[in-house]
Amino acid sequence: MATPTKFETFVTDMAAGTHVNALNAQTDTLKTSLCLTSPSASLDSLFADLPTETTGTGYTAGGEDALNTAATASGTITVGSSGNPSWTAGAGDWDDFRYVTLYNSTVAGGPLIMYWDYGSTVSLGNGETFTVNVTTNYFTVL
Amino acid sequence: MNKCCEVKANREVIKEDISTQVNGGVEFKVSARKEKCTSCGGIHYVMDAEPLILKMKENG
Repeated sequence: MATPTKFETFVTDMAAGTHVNALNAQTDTLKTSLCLTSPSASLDSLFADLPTETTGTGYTAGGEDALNTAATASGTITVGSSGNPSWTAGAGDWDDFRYVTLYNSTVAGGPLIMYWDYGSTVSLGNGETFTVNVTTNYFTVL
Repeated sequence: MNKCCEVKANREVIKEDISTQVNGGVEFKVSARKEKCTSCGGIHYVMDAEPLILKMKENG
């Protein structure tokens, strides 16, 4: 499985309550975006800090809804998903990509949460799809 | 995505992208894959996304 790398500011954002509506009320929309160059876990904190985003027919700037769900349990918080974000190339004009970033698109600036590395460059051809299979959930705070 | 592509039994793995990543000093094997629908020939890339677990460390 692709292991996540958290952005360092995610921890301070959590403490500051930046993501409170994503964690408790599920009123914040989390999104997944694609890029070719590796994000910086220590230097990037907002969506605008990320490397150049992928473009192509069928890709919406800012990425795809992560379909996040919020759940709290005694002593822990888990943010899950009601589905798997996916893209279908509408033409053979997609930029290559490799990294998938999860961020909060509702909060101003789009604070970053974490990213995954596919492991190699993906060149998506016309009609091909890319799916982020959310195996269990996005994150848990213990 | 075509309906036939959504049937798991129609998916054939034609390439596995396995690499090693280091996260927090620990090596992980990453597995992502390229699949082909045996019915229509559609190509699908899938990345299994592992969840992030944040642990608040207790004293002691």
